[in-house]
Amino acid sequence: MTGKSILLVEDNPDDEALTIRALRKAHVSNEIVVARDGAEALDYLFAKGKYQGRDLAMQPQIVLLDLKLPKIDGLQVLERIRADKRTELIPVVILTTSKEEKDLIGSYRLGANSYVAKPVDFVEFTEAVKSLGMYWLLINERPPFIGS
Amino acid sequence: MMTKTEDLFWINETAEVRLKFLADASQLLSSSLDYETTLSNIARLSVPVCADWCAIDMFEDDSRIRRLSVVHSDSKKTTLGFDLFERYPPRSTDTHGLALVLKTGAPQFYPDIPDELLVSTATDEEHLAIIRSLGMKSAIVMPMKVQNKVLGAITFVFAESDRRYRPQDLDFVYDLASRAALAIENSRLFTEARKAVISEKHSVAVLNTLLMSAPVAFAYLDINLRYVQVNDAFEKLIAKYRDQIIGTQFGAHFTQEVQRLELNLKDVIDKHEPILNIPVNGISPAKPGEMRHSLASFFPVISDNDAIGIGILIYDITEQKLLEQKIREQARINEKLYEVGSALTAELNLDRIVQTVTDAATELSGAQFGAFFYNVLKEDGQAYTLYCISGVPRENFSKFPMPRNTRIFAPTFKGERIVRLDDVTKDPNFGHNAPYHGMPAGHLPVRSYMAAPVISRTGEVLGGLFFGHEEPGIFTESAEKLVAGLAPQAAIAIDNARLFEAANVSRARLQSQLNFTDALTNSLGEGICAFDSERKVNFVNPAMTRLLGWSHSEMMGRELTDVFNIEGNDGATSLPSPKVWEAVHHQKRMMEGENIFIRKDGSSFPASYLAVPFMENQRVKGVVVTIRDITETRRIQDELQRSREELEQRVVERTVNLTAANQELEAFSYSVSHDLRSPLRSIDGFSQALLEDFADKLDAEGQDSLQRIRAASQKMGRIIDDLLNLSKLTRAQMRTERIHISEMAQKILEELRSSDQNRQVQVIVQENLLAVGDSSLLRIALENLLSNAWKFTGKQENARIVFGAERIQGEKVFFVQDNGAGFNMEYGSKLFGAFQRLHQAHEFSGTGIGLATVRRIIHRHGGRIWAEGEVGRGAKFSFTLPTMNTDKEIVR
Repeated sequence: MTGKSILLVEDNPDDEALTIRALRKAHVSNEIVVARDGAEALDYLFAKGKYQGRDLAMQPQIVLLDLKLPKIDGLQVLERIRADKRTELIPVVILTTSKEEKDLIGSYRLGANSYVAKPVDFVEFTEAVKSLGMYWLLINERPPFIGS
Repeated sequence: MMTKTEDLFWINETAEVRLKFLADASQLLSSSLDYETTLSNIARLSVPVCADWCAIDMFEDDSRIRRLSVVHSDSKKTTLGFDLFERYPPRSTDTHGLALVLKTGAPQFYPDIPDELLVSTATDEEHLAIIRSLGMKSAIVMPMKVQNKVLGAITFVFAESDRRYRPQDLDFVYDLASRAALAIENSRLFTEARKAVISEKHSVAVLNTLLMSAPVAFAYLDINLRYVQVNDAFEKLIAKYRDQIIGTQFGAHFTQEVQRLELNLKDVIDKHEPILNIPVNGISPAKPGEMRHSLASFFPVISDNDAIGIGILIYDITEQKLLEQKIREQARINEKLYEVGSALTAELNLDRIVQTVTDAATELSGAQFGAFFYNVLKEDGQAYTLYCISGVPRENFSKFPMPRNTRIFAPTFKGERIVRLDDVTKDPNFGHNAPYHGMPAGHLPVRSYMAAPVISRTGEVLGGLFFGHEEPGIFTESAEKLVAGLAPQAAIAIDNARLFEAANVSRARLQSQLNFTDALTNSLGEGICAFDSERKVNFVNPAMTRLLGWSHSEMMGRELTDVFNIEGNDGATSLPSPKVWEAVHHQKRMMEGENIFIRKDGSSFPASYLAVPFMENQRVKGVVVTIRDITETRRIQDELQRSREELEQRVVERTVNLTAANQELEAFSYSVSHDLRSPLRSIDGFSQALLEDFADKLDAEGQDSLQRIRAASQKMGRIIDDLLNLSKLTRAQMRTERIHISEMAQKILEELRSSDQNRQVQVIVQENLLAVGDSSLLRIALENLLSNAWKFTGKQENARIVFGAERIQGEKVFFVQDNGAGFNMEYGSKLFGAFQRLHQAHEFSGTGIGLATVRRIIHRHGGRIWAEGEVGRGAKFSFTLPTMNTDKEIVR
């Protein structure tokens, strides 16, 4: 596993803790950057705000994106990621409590790579995150970075 | 035409007058042996009492006709009578008048002399002109006959007095002619005898020869009235030989008349007066039982002024009498036929016609009773038989059925011929037909039988006349002739009556049709008005006058364009435009449209019109226009339009509200989905973290508590999921399609089986069931029902689940049936409520939302769902899925 980071966009601290716990249990050792709302996530990705000056060449290996977020919601974040040449190829996995069809469809339409509904059962959640990590961090071949 | 009663010759003449005339005539005839003078006197006596013209003609031995006498009150005409006879003597080829009488010996009777007779009589134009000028109206030519030898004829003619001879007048003329004939014969015999006496030498021989061989019975009595000599004819008359007669008393051979005749004969001897033509009637001695009629004449035989005996001449006139009777009978029949004929001609009432005919025929035929069975056509064209009875009360026949086409009746009903039987019971055709084999019990006894068909001009058998008498041999040939004469008259009368009735019925129908049409057009709210081909009004109903404000009389005859004033007349579709007229009147099309019509007072109203051609015999005779005031219709249409708009507005509003409500609900669900589940996930997640990270610090009880916390959170998570699903069902758009519901059930059951392979469940799915609905929703419903069945049969050893459909009151009903735990029907109403459970959680797991979900899905399909069950004996869930053609969703 390389040193590439994982961007976890999650406003709920409990979910943040549980997600990180699940990732770690799945032996994912990458750096996990947590953004607690959509705006922060975008600041990170585009090196703005408190992330001013961050090296844009070092983009996360994957973005785990919750949908229900303060300020800018998950789908808007996804839209911005896909709209920008610098970020359009970053795999985005929606990781959300919602099982709503419109969220699911909306996510895929906007270019989400995967959609995971967080189950209440933590054991199941761990299993889901594990398989997610296996695919996106180990199996999937990332396209070469083409941002400026 | 003359009326029957007033112009008949004898109608005002009493029998006395007639007898007086006959007595006078007899007096004349017996007063002299000079018959030529006598007959001339008879002719004179006849005018004008019996005739306007009277002619007496003698037929000579050489077949010549000699005119003896012509009498007319005008002496010039008397001369004309002789002249005509001279110039245009009768020809042997004539088929009328004297020549025919001479040829046939039969009287000629012309009740009315038609012009054709004159034309056929006339030899040339002049002759015709003369006989036409005579103005002859009615005539009788009566032969004067003795022993079938025609001696001459008496001719009676009515002309100027415009009278007519009736059939019964023939009797009288016949009587007169017979007496005249005898007078002629007597006179001839007497003359012959006298001639013989004069010739002394031959007298005896001549007398003998004459007398002995004469066809007339002759006898000579001495003054004691004993037979001295009789001739052959006399022998024959009394059927005895000459030697049995001679020497006997005159009366010995004539029982009844003897006394009276003897007295008279003494007068003949004493007073030397002959007695001429005494009628003598009696049973024939020659043929016992046969009635003979004779005329006897007694002459005094005088020698030297003393009577030395009596000569008797007896003419057998039986044949004449019979003929006379026949003539009388025929005359009576003629008269009756004439009477009935006149009655029938004037009668158009069918019932009265048949009654008249039946009565007349029964009376004249001598029947005890008669009946007329006749067919009547009902209005609908069906025929049925009526009858009329004469001679006996109707009740005697009312209990019997109509006569059928039996062997006896067949010739009548088939219209073949008249049947006349002296004894019907002896007829070979009698008694062959079931059920009566003869007459039904209680029928009046019939021996003499006669029946005649009554046949229409068209050949149709209208019915039959039937006559009966309990004595055999009643119906004579002349009765048959009478009936034969009556039947065609009756047929014609019935034909006429039928025509008349048919005409009446058509007229009545037409009238009632007219009344109906009148009532209809008067009561209609639509204005109706008809135009002739000149575009002039020729009919208008009250509604039209009301609508247009013109009076009836103002409208009649008015021109189309004057009657209908149209606002904004655009010429193409407006009623009075030439285009509309052209289309309807010339092209026979029906035109309709709507115009604003202007009334007489200038006000206006909207109306729809309909113009149709009025056809008669496939030709356009005019145009009928109907107009209907549509003010009210328009108002209603406007109102309808307004309320439709209002409704649409309301629908839009409601849709907006509903959309808003729906969006709210969606937001709510979304937040539930996130915000309720997140804490649960934390509870579960961190409980697990505790268990993992601090297992060594927690005892078994602590670990168990954490497990319970986890279980509870997970369950709540499932409840939330189910609730969300339920609310999704309500909102999700439906896509209806045809679904192979049997396959769907089969797949679900296979999934259940594979997820729970330990169980042995008998699954029965009825094949090839189709339904129309949203396949994903129906799948959820079926999943719920089948997994319920799967679940509740979990404790059943021989578990069985059935999916199928049945037809209940014509409706297709699907069902899922199991033999599982079942339920108490008392709580059945709670089955379909959300979170309602009939089983405790430890018995059967579940969230209590499944059936609520199923019910919602079925309801969204417009169907119904219900359950039947019994604790421990299984449950049956039934539902319907009406075929939906359109998506009923309004929202979204």
